[in-house]
Amino acid sequence: MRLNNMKKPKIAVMYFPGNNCEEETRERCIEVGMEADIVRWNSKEDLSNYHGFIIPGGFSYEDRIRAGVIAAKEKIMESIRKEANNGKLLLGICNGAQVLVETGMIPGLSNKVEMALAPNTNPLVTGYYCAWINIKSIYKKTCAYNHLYDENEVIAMPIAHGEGRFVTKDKELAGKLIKNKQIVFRYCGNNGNIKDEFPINPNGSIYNIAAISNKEGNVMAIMPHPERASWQWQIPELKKGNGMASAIKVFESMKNYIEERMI
Amino acid sequence: MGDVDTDLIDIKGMEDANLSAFLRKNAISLTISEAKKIVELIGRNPSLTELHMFNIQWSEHSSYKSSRHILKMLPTKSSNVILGPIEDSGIVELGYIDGERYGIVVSHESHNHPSQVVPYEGAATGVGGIIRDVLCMGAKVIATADPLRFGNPYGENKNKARYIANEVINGIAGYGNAVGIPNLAGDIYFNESFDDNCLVNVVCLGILKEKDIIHSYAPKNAEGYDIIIVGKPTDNSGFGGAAFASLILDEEAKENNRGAVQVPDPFLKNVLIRATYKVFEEAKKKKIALGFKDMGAGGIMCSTSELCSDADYGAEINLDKVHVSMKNLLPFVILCSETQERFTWISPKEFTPTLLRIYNEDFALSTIAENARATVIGNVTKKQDYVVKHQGKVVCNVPIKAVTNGISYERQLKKPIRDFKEPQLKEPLNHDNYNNYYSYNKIALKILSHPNVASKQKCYKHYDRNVMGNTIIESGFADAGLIRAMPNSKYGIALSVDSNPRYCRINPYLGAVNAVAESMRNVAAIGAVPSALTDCLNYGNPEKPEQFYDFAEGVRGIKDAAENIYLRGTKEPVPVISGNVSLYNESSKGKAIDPSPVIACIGVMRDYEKAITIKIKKANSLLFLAGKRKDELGGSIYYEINKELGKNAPLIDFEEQRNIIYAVIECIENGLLLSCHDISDGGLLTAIAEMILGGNADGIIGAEIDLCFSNLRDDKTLFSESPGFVFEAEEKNTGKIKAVFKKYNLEITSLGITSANGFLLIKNKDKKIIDLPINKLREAWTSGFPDAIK
Amino acid sequence: MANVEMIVRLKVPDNVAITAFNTLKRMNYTALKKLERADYYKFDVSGNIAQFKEKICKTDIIINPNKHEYSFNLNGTINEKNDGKNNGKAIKIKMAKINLLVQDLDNSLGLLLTLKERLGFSNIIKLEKGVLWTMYFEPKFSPIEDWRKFCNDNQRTKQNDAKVQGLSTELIKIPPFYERRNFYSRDAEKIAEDIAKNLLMNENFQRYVVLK
Repeated sequence: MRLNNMKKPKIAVMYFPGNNCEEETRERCIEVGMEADIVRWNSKEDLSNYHGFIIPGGFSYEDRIRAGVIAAKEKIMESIRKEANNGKLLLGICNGAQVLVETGMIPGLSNKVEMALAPNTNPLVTGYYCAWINIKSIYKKTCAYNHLYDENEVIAMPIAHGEGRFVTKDKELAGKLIKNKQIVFRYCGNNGNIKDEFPINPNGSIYNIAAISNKEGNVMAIMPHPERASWQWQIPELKKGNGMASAIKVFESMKNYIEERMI
Repeated sequence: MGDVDTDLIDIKGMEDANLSAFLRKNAISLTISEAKKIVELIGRNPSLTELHMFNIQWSEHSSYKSSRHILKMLPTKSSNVILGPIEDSGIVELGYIDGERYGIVVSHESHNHPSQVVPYEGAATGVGGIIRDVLCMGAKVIATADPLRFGNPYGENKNKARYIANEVINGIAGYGNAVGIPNLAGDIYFNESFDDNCLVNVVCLGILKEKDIIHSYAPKNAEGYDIIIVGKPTDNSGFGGAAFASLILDEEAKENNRGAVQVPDPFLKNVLIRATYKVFEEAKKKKIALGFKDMGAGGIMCSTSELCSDADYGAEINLDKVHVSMKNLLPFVILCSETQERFTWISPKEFTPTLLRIYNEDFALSTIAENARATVIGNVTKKQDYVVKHQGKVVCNVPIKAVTNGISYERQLKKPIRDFKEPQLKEPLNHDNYNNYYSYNKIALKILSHPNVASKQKCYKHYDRNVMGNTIIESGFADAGLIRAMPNSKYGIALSVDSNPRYCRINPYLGAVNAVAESMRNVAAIGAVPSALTDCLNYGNPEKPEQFYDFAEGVRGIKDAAENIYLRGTKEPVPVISGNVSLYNESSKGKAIDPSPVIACIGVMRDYEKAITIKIKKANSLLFLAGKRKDELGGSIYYEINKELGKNAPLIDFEEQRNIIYAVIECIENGLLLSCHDISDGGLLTAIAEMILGGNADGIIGAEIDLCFSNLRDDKTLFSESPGFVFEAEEKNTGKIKAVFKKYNLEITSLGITSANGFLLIKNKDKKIIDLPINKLREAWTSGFPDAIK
Repeated sequence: MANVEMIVRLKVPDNVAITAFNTLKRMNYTALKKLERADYYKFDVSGNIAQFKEKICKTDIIINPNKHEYSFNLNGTINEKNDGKNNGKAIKIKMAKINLLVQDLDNSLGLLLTLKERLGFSNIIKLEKGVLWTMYFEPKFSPIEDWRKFCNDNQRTKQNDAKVQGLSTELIKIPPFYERRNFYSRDAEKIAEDIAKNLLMNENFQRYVVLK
């Protein structure tokens, strides 16, 4: 990652019309010691000045046609794809995850779109569903986003989406993803047990998948919102304190990863 | 007397019958005397545009003509008020952070009639409108709340009631989630009085520094300033339907009957909000003073006239400059249309290019919604006239104060006869008769599963409650929602909404008093200090003296409660800083809704870490009751499941209420309580059961309660809705808690203990009354609401 | 037992269709001139069909008369437009119209249950739904330019045809209607399928079918 005169890792938090989590996502990046700008979809600035990109949550283009698909076809995504191909970080959170899946960059094993984030299957609420769940880190340090997690570490996070179910037409794909260690986080109970039933799996995602990275480990699509669970006071029924909570490590991992590679 | 270049309507010369027919034909709801009053006011016959203008300005919705003089009695000035209820929103002090005074911006409105017709769009545009009201004060928008009332889901109109409930919830979710403002609080009531008139009220909160307030009127020295409209292109919203079918000249639009539905666009709003924040930033940097106002009812006409009139200026508007989405709109349609997602700015000419650039280029509005943009449509004038031009002709030219002064009526009041009686119910059987339908156990479960008591999780889970990352306590987890005010500060803002329709049915004054008291108790139950109130007054037809009496009584109830439950540490009233009136909520058969004064209470916490929820935290802690149980079951859920209304709704002793509220807050601030819950619908039994279950219905710690402290019959003890609190504390803190309450001249009562036994056990000395496993409580409480709306 | 097809369209402007159209323009699908979107329902119904049709169009969870219009017939009027005059005669150009239905692979049962249990439609045996995209295609060039190009490319053939059919060679300046329509229909369907694969559906949980 060759960026001249950069002292701190610098992140571009994208704003497509309709995104709505960009401010707090940027706040988290800054709180862990990175710099972060909000970059609009129609910006003409030079993206090579950033070490990484985050596409935040929300309803880019109002989910028209399908969540994430219009943003995926935007011109600026071509530039971002080039940067990601050069090893820069690219994190898609919730709607951002949907954008990455619609570009094919996740799972990124070929040039095609190989997965979808389909409408939730949920016996309690049809459509959009906002609730607190748990995910666990399957590996330690296999991608830019799990550097600081232990294997099987359980993390509380909220989800807030109507289309969060990872699915694929390709029956062999799940096997490939497991082999490549691309399934970074999976939904589990608060004791870490992975059960493919509601409410532990809140949306019917195959294999309880909550987040997938690409093979290289610099791109990840995650459906739950780490920026909403980074501080203890954000987490319901937790003894209120002012300390950091486990989800902040997603952002700290990013900083860690960038610093390890900075020249 | 200003001149116009178009034809005048000869109101002076028309005979009454002809005038009446003319007004009806043009869908103008002014009375004959009101029409003649216009002539008096402006010194000549009006043009058609002017006539439509007064029609809107003098409608109940815009002028508050029936309610204004009654509303004057509300207390609106206390030392913590930064801005009272005169502009788009009210502002109450949050506190000082880094030496700067911050304000909480609040607005509270209704969107009842549109939601009955098109529930999704009605609710969505309601949320859209309230967000604009807060944004237009220069604030960052941080939360919304939705008090809702629907018809009986088990009554003769159950399909309609369920359809409307589902669509309203979807509309609120669809709008708020997309814009990205968290839903912090709300409530839902079902009863048959709302069968034909649902209530969709909305509250919105914002935050700003006092010095950054942008007023809803032109700034100083605004002569010559640009009047700029921003947002969606104007169409014929509000002028649709049969009434205006003959006036629509755009053939395609005529086929579609556009204008009958207000079209929400949260996607455009999402972008507008962010662009507007950038305008705030730039204006602050360049030290520019602006005027900013939402466009709601009356559209361009209302916002531009009020912006200028309220600062003693006039305005000149050129309708040809207005960006439109339909061709050949008549001038009064362009001027008065209610197209959504629009605002009006007043800007000095040197700042206008920056403002236009931010909306039109930086945020490329026209790519977000077809022909959306910011555009200059006129200017502020020194002469206090309101002049509107269309295709080179002057279509409106009247003194601006005539446009904005409105009119006022003193409606007649007549006290209706209310002859309610207390029923003589048989006492339920005790726990040994578990399977008997009339046992305490079964009745407790029936109450917990009543749609007005049951968990509303299924509704909340449609709403994004933690977007923006500031939410500390979500809906349902405590009696009030709590949100972090700012990064790098420990201030929290609490919000609760309340109003019990059946109390108001029994006694509209008492119902209003209870609404205020309960909203304040709810804020106190988490440890926040009640700071301000807002009111949305939903009533029937003000032209019917008995229904107007109920309205006046409701306002009197709010006034008395606000004035006598003081702001902490003072003798000042809790101020009412924002509000709204919605009248004519009656069915086509003339049946009015239950009087519904919906109150929102805003509270402040200096340290949000001290906040507590309702959920029981530990086994073997003590449970206490504050607030005596009285024979006050009028309007209660217990009576409702016995198909009775009753007569004795809870009374509020103001001094006692004051003391109990501030005693509870002080205990929480001192860290003495583990959990706390207000007693309301469903009484003491419900409060305890909900504490066991917690907001997410996942509690596992039970309780053992003894009712020997009460000299009422056991069912009255358990189900009476007299005001009060239940709280949980560790034994070691008992002394300190009692000392705090003693300071406030109050005593607390021991209820029992929390226990790891997995049951709710209630007895009175040796008599076992209730014996329910937590699973049964959970099942009843979580199924009640989903069953009612599926 | 019979199949009842119904489409429900917005009377107010359809932002989804507008955005889709603008995105497709940016993706260089210049032949696409107009795009409409509707909710599509196919009911498998037993018993009285006419009664069912009357009842279903009054069901507010499917149709809100304030914002929706509906039809039981997929093929509305053909879209014609005037493209100016040639030799004093107006030319009417038919745009090729393709109906493409996008459906989720797992058809959720929620709506069917609500219709059957809450709203009393016990005679619905099966329900399929989807999004119907109606695409209108027109050639890249103006009709006159296009026809001239076509004539130049096929000059001799056309003259022979005209002679064979006994038409005056003067008349070949005006395009034979049927021939142009066939030409564009073939291409239009291919383009429509391409549009489906590249934007309107994700094959990992959806499928498409061109309705004829």
